[in-house]
Amino acid sequence: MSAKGSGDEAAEAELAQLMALAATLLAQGLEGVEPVTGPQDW
Amino acid sequence: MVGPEAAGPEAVAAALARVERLNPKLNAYLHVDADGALAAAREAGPPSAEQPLAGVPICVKDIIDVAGMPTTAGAAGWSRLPSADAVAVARLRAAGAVVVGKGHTNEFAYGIDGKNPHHGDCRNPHDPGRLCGGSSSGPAVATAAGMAWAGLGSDTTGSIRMPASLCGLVGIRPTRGLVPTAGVVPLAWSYDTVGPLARTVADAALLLDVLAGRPAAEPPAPDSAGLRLGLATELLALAAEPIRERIRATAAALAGAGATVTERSVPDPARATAIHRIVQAAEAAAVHAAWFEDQRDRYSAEVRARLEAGHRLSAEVYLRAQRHRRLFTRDFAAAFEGLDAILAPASPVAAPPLDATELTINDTTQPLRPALLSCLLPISQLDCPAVAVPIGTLDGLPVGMQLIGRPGSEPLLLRLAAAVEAIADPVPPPAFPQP
Repeated sequence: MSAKGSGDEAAEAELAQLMALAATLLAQGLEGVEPVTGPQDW
Repeated sequence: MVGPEAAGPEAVAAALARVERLNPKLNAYLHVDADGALAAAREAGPPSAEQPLAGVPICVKDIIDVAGMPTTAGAAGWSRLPSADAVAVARLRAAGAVVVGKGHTNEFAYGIDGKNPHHGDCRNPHDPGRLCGGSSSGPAVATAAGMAWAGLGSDTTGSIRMPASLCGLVGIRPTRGLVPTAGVVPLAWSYDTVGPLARTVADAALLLDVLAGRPAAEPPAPDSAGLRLGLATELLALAAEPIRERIRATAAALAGAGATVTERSVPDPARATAIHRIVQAAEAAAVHAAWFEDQRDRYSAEVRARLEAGHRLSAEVYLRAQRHRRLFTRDFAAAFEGLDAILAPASPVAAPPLDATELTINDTTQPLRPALLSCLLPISQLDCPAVAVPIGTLDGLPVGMQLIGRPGSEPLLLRLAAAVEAIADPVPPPAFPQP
């Protein structure tokens, strides 16, 4: 898979959407929170 | 166990006859092994405690390996010919089930509408001009149209619950990890589950026991008395008004049968969308990395774009999303306090037209895919079980309700699903033109 831009406009647009969504997930407030790896039991 | 009318050579032959007649219209199967199915049915004894599925015809989604049948994942060029069954298939066959063939799926299961640019679209048996839902489209349509007794599917974002809802079936997304995913082409590891699609709650419960590798329990009793149920406010708001009315009416009927039903606020579904799209894109890109360059030009433009974008996400972005998923789950668990189960829509609308690209719901227009997924995707973050169960029809099209429980609470959810099934108007079988 090409690591850099492929020139594919659809892929660029998709990435822009994902990065915009990522920006809504702030780093603040994550102290002590581990990523989900295996199934969660709650 | 399954009744004798659903099992044996005559039942399998009847399913195959319907495949011959209906599959050209509905496109539920990508591969059929008629001779193998008939031979297996002739060898099977009657259903028994040891083999509760003996001689019953099953449709397996074509991302799940069946020994000797090609696994194409609904792709244009990618395929493999497995020599071993996926664990879930092996458990079904050990219980006596007969695999009729491989069911239609969205390309690499990366879609929710049941369409496929390489293999043609799968069609809703209640109205072939409408979407059947996906990506477990083939198993759902085969089951609803009598081309199989039941289906085996997978649910990453909503791929069992959506086609179950649009086709009038019971579909179970199990607690993650309950049913092994070995031998299944992954979509996104940390969301992938394997589960059944069936016409009744009792059938779905039996299949789940077999898939989980445990002895079959008695069919779940329709009992909601004493259950504390929450109607998810934010998810209900995402559905069209006629769907909301059906959900509320069913909840009221459950209250009339002895449950306690209250409205309950749940975490903002938009948070789940952000988490899910990032995690799924990154994991799917990693799954496909081994063959992506060779297959690049064979993907549909839509799936290729998602994979390329996922490949370019950083590890930091991915892990931040997975940390937010943990927080979202904690918040949802807190919203669950004092409840046994949460009720929500499965699909926000009944089956849309086959050519729909957008949905307008409550005066808001959005693209089809996120709109269809809106009530299912938040629940996929939680690793908990969720059951889609029919609650009647709207203008002749099935409507589904989603029942959500804590991890491991399938027995309680299935009792509740049986209670809903007993209360709700039945979904009539699809009507087809006579041959």
